[in-house]
Formats: sequence, C-alpha cells, structure tokens
Amino acid sequence: MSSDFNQDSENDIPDWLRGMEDGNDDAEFGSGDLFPSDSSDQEDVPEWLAGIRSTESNDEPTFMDEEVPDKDTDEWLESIRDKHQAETENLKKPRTDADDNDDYLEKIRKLKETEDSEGDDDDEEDPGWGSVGSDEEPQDEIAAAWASNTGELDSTDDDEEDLPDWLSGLPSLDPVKDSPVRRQEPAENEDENDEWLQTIRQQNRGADEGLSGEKEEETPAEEEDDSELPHVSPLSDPPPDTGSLPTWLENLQTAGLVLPEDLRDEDEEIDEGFVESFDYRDEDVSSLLSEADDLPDWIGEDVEESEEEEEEEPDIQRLPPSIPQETESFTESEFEEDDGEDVEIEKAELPTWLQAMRPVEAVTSAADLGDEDDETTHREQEKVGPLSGLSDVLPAEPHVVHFGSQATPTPSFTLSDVQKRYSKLLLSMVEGETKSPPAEKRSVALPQQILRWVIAVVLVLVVVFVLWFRVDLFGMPAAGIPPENAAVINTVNTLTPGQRVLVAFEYQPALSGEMESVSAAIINHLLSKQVELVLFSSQPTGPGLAEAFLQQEYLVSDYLRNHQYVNLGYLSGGSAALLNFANDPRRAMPLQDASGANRWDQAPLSGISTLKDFAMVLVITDDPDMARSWVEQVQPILDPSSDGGGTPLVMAVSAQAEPLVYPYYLTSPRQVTGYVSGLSGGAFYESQNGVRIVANQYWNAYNVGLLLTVLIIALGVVFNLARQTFVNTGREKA
Amino acid sequence: MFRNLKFRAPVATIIAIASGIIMLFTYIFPLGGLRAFILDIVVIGAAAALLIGVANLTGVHLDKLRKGEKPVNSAALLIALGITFVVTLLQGYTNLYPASLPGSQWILTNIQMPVESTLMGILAITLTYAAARLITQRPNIFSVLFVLTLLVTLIGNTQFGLETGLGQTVRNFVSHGLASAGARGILIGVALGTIATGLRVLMGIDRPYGG
Repeated sequence: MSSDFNQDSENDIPDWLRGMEDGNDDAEFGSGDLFPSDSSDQEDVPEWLAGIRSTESNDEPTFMDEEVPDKDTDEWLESIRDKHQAETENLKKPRTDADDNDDYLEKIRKLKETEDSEGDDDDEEDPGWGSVGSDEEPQDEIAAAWASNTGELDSTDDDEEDLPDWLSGLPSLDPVKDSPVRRQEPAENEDENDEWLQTIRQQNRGADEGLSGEKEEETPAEEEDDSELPHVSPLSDPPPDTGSLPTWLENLQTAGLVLPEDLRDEDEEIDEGFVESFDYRDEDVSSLLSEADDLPDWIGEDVEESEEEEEEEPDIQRLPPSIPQETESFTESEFEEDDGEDVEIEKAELPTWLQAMRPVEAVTSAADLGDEDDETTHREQEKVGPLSGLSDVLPAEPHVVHFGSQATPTPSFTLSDVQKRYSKLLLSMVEGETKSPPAEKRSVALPQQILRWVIAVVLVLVVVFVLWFRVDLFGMPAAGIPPENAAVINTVNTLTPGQRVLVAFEYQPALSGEMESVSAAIINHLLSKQVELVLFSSQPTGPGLAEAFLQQEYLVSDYLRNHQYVNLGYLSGGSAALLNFANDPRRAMPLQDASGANRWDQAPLSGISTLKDFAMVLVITDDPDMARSWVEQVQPILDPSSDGGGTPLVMAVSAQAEPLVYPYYLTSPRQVTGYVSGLSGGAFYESQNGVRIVANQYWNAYNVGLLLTVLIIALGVVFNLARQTFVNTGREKA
Repeated sequence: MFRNLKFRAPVATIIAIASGIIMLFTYIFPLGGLRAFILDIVVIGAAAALLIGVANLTGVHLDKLRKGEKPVNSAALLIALGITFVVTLLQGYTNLYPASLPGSQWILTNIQMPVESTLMGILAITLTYAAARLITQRPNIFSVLFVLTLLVTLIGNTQFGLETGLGQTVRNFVSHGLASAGARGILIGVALGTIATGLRVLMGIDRPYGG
C-alpha cells in the first residue's frame, strides 16, 4: 500500500509534473492548494501550480474537467464528446469517451452510495466480529500498521538523493508538523472543490463511518473538523498525513487510492486509477459492468482479467459480505503500468483493522512462522464445511472446539557432542533401571550342598520312620485344651441329627495334609452327630479336595454310606460371590438333578433360603484372607448372638492363620464362635473326643520332626556363631 | 473400530462408580434384589476371567514353545492342561467318557495333592537350613532374636512343651499376644485402607480397572 516515491526517477515524471518542476522547484508545495477559490487565493498559489492550470487549460479535457460544473469547460468538453462519438463507437480508450466515463462513473457512484447506505446498515447489524475493530487493541494495531505505511513514506527521506531535486525539496511527511494547517486550508475553499472530489469524500466518509464510528465518537474535535475538512480515513490514528502532498491527493492516498510509483501526467491515468480503485476485485461492480454495451472495452478486459486471476488464485483475500467493498479497494495501491501492458495484479492485503479481527489462531500461526507477511500464513485452506478448499476464510471449526489432545510439538534441538554423550549416558542409566538383571547361577560350595542333603535326609528318614513304624514316643495331649477348641466342641455338641451343616473347603492342595489333620476330628464329630453335610467352595480345587477328604477311609462310616451329602461345587467371584451366596444360595448356585428337578427343593436342601437356615457353618481354610472374607461377608448374615442364637461360624484353620482369626474370636459377641488351628489343635480335639484318627497318627512324627528341626537350627546357629567368632579372632590376631 | 472413540475410560468409570454407589445403598435401603443382580454379574464375570486366564496362560506357553524358551517345561504344562481340560469336560458325559477311567478327581488326588505337598516338605527343609545359616548371613541382634523366638515356639508346640507349660506360655504370649496384636493392627489397617480405597473408587480418583 505504500506509494513508491523512492523509486521515482526523473525520467518517469509526467509532463505536467515536469512543468511543475520547471516552473518552481523551490516552491512550498505543501502550503498551497490545487484548487484556489478566488483570485485572492491566487497569491497563495505557487507559480508552478499556476503553470499547471495554464497548461491544463490547453490540453484536452480530463477526467477532473469533466466533473467540474463549469460552463466553459462543458462547452469544450461537449465538443470533444461529440467529436469522439462521431468518429467511432468502438473507441478503445475510455479517456476519449466522456459519455461512457460519465455513465460508468455515475453507476459507480450510485453503487457506492448504495453500498454506503448498506454498509451503514450492516454496521448497525454487525454481528459482532466487525465490532472487534473498534477495540483498543486493534486500534493500536491499525495505528501501528499505518505507522509502518507512513514509515515507508518517511523512508523517502533516506533516499532523497534518488529523488529529483524538486521532490527532495518537499517538506517532510511528518504528520504532526503539517497536518492541522494543511487540512484547514482546503476547507476554506471547499466550495470550489469539484464534484468528483466531493464524491470521493463521500465515499471515504461512507466507508469510514461504519468502521470507526466509535473512534470518532471518542474524539469530537475530529468530528467537528470532519464536517469541514476533506475526510481523512479514520482507519489510521494519528491522522495520516502525506506531508507536502495536496489535500485532494492526500485524501486519495488516505482512502487507499495510493498513487502509483510515478505521478501520472495524463488525466486518463488518474481517471483509470480512480475507476480501477473501485473496480478492482469488486464483484458487485464487475457484475454491474458485465453488460458489454455499457462497459468500455478496456474495463471489460480488466474485469475479465480480474475474474481470471480470482479463479487462478483462490487464495485472494475476500472480505465478508458485511464489509463495504470500497474498504478493500482502499487497501490497493497497485495500478497498471502506463505502457498499456497488463501486469499481474498483486494480491490484496487485508486492511489493518481487518487483520486485527483475524482469529487468534491465524495470528498465532503467523507469529509462529515468524513472518506475518509470509504468504503461507495467508494460504491456510479451509478443510471442512462448505468453504472447504477456500483460503483465508474464518474457520468453520475453530481450534477451541477440536476434540482430543493436540499433537505434542516436537522440539528440534541441536545437540553438541557433549550433550549427545550425556543423553546417551542418561538413556543407558534409565534403561538399566528398567531391565531386570538375569538370574545369576550361584555356585554353592560343596560343604553347604552336603549340609543341605544331610538335613533333608535326616528329617525325612526320622519322620518316615516314626510314621511307618507308628512309634509312640509322646502321648496325646489331654490337659490344657485351648478354649477356642472347646467352643467348637460345644457348638458341635449342640447339633441334632438331621440338621444341615455347611462345610466350606477353602484350602489349597499343598496344605491338604495339615488341613485334613485339623478338620478330620471336627468332620468326624459332625458325622457322629448325624447331621446333613452340604459342601461348598470358592476355590477351584475345593470341590475335589472335599471329595477326596470325605473319601478317606477313616471317615467312611455307615452314615456316609447311607446318606448322600450334597456338594454344591465351586462358586467363582471371591468375596463378592460369598456375599451373594450368603444372601440367596438358591440364586447363587442353582442345582438340578438328573431329572431336571431343583435340588434345592429336595432333601437335605429343602427349606433353605439363606445361610442362616443352616445349623452351623464350618470353614476349613489355610488362608487368613479367606477367613477374613467369611467373617466380613457371611457372618453378619448368620446373625449370631451372645446368647447362642443365630447360626454359629466355626473355623478350622492352619497354624499360620491363627493369629489373624483369633481377634475375631475375642470379640463380643463373637464373630467366630470357635476354631481349631494346626495339628496340635486337631490333636487336642481328637483327644477330647476320644478318637485317634489323622492328628493322632501324625502327632508323634510331628513332635519328632519339630524337635529335630529345633536341634538342627540350634546346632547350625552355634556352629556358625563359633565359626564367625573364630574368623574374627583370627583377623584380630592377623 | 471403537479405538478412536475413547469412551472406554468414561464408561468404565461411570459403571464402577454407579455400581459402587448402588452396592453402598443396598446396605442402607432395601435393595436386595438389585444387589443380587449386580453380584450375579460379578460371579459370571469372575468365571469368564478364569477362562480368560487359562487362555492367556496357554498362549504364553505356546509362545515360549515357539521361541524355544524352556520348551520342555512349556510342553509339559500344555500337555497336562490339555489332558485335564479334556478329561474334566468329558467326564460329565458317561457315554463319551467311561466312569471306570480316572477322572479329574483322580488327577487331583494322585498328582496335584502329592506334588504340592512335596513342595511344602521341601520348603520345610529349606527353611530349616536357612534358619541354621541365618546368623552367618546376618549376624545381628534381630537375627538372634528371630532364631530364639522360632526355637521357643517350635518347642512350645511339641508335646514336651505342652506338658512343661512352655507351650501354653508361648501360645499366650507369642500367638495370642504379639502375633494377634500385630494381626489386629493389620486388620484395622486393612479396614481403613478398604474405606479409603472405596471412597477413591467411588469418586473416580482410583481407576484400577484401567479407565
């Protein structure tokens, strides 16, 4: 949008400017006015400007002259029009066809007025995005953008050497110094302004009122000036000032009708630029001028070329429909070359106020790329929605509504050799932590291996010898029966024949030897009471262990031969299944016989709806956690009371589980009515009942094995202590 | 197909929290039927998990067999697994599997129980040997105290200890005193941990189901 004054050269200066240069090189261009109102003002007009007028009066009518409502001018202009109309109807250059110029210019004016009114309406109906431009921050950006543009103008000071002498003598473009005075001068001569200039001012007002109305409201002083002065585009703050340029030229530049690189010497060029400024990429105007009869050939070519460019370059920025079209044209500064060759029209640039309204991600992406002017930032194509494929449109799916986590940006580092070495070292350390070291084969010294084998052989031989030959070294424990064992015996003694007892086999096959010796006396006691046994297990091997246990020869009695017990089988689900089974065993473990009848409706299960309907619940387990699950999940449903009501919960546990079950026995009321633990507990139970089955068979071997183990450990500890002492003594001596 | 939908975490969390709250309410309000329904699902799911575990174990050892990592052990396991599975499956059908043939009960009684009991016997011998060498490995006061407690407890569980009163003393002081005190502390800790874990699961802080 910058006008390239610095590229100006003396050769490119048009003739009318040459006249200016020749006539008055040292004239203060900025202090004069191109259109003095009366003769009194003639004194203020520099001589070079007077030379311009005299020269223009001899030239053929210009675009400006066409608009001046002067009789003299109309007469000679009419003559020229008639002359050209008579000569040819297919006149190529519109500069000679004044009527056509009037027609399409009139259309453009009407169109702009219509758009201005629409733009005002649109501003009133602004959905909100347009109001962003009135924020302070975008205003700052607009000011910064203007400053950058004016900075380019200021940069001409640096290139004064390249400028012609007359241009280098122009005052600086500092807006602070010159703008107030220079703006008021044309206001005094406003009556003499041409109609076309009024049109431009109206257009500028129409475009700017809708865009920066808020700003003008904030600055009433400027509003007052605005009524008198040629309208300065409110897009910039501070007001733009082109320095020594005349006011009408200043307005053009302010409005975006930036002069081409060289000041054009012919009126048709100005005319052409004026038309082009409204026509450039203006779809509405193009459609308006689409009729071949109304459109001059050269404009028609431009329109077609513009359409072709739009088709070829889909990334040309388009304004939303609510934005007045002329605001886009204000941003254009490129005109066609004078030589008549159509150069490629450069792509439009977003005005700064529109850039300020861009989505945040667009600005962010541009900032990430580090160059806002980079074309790639303006070529992001829409990928979804009906606008898919178009560039530089408001995104249909903003980033803030995208689901899922954003891809983690991968930082790119440039590592030095030292850093690479350290990173490899750190990586090896981390990997070393995650890798499990391979199990190293420990070589055991021969004496230790021999000692292992000796210990094993001695223990096995002694225990087997005692079991095999039924050596009775120790008598059965008679006195001192534990109270928890006595509680179990008392509970079983309360049972009556035909009552149903639930027996849960919750142990592993590895500990079946100990558990059988613990529970055999209890089962035998139950069978002696002629109760109905119902077997259950929450372990996969439980039902098999129960079958194996009850098939032992020492338990096979006439009662078992005549009465079939019920094995409910395995129930999966752990403690949750226990709760379900305790609440509703029929639902938890549905049973059917061979005929398809419900086993729960048959003896001995008939009448059982909950575990509370059993006379006693016996849990045989080697796992403290399993014992805890039964106490926590099942015992509350059994509802035992201190007075003996409810269903008692009895346990037969291994010696290792006793410490964890004992607290439940000590509670009041007791959560566990009684328990038998370990082989010694089984031995107590058998001796109390006067039977000699499993525990009694193992009792002697058990005692011999324990004593032998104590002896081996004691010898080993003494030997090792002596050896350690001997070694330490030897070291001290050494 | 549903991998990209990412509904696994929220759905699993919702199910877990809702199930926990419902189960909690069943202890307060009379919602026994609803609790039984949920527990039925748990039982079925646990049974399915057991089958999945067996399938996973089979897959792991098939992979080891293919890679040649201790193929003999994996082959023995797979053969035993296959035989036991087939026998247990067919023994319910007398027309397919005669009752005179050994079934799953025979396998359990004559193979599994002796093998596992033998392992426990070997463990007893190993512990004896380790206790004898404990002072050599870690010659400190705690090792000596451990060994002394072990010896006294073993002697107290013998007939000699019971007759001399040592067993009763040891039983009252060690088993019902120190050990039970420690066990009670463990139980209280477990209870508090269960409450805390339950609350964390109900609030969705802990998602052990992988949500």
